[in-house]
Amino acid sequence: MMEDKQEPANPTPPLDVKLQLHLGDKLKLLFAETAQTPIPDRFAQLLDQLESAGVAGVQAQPGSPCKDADDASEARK
Amino acid sequence: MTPTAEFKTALLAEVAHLRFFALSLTNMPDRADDLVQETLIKAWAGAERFQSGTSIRAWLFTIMRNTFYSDYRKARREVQDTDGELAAKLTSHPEQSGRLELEDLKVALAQLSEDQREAILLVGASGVSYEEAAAICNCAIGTIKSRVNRARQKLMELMGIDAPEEIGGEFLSASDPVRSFMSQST
Repeated sequence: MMEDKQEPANPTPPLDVKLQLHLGDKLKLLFAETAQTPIPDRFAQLLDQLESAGVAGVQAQPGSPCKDADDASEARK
Repeated sequence: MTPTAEFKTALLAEVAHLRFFALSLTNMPDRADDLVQETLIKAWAGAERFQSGTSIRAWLFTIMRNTFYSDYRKARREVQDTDGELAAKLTSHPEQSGRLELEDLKVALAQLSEDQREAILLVGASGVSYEEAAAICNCAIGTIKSRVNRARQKLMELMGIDAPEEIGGEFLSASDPVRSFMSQST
């Protein structure tokens, strides 16, 4: 089995379409499993806070893990 | 709806996908939700950088992945997760009763390289296009395609499926036109 260090230009040929459908179904089920778990209220509350108080207001909250919201700029590079 | 309210609604609609991607990055449910929170705050702070008409999911995933690799990775190394533990935790919240049919997939996913696992989950489970996955992972589309192809092949090997006949019929729902066509043509 070839290691993936080289990232060869020629992709390996795709599997039989049916196999891909089967694997695709399972992968989607994997997401569905996570999506089934109730979403904690903390996210809706966080967005409410962001809307009413802004980022500075949320960062002032104790326990917020966000130290430097400014580096979201990195994401657009 | 105001632009702000629209943006908020759009973010909220992506939370499930953000949790899934965070879980695949961190392998730890608690950290995953912290990573989601941090991503939402950064997205809010950088809202003006989002280009309307582009995928907000891809934009959020990019922020999340950058955050993970700059901040969280160090912390993860300190925890000294072993591969075995990763396999058990991968994309599974502790409160969930494990779905047996997915266990083989989780075990197989844990054996892929990080790059391959990320690519196949983005494209196969998160509904992200090849182009978007390439942007998220900061690499060429061809690289993503080859990672996905090799991940697929390796998953099938690991799961012991190498011929269509070995697939149970339960996935070939008659209601799906593509599948019903395919099952007829067999």
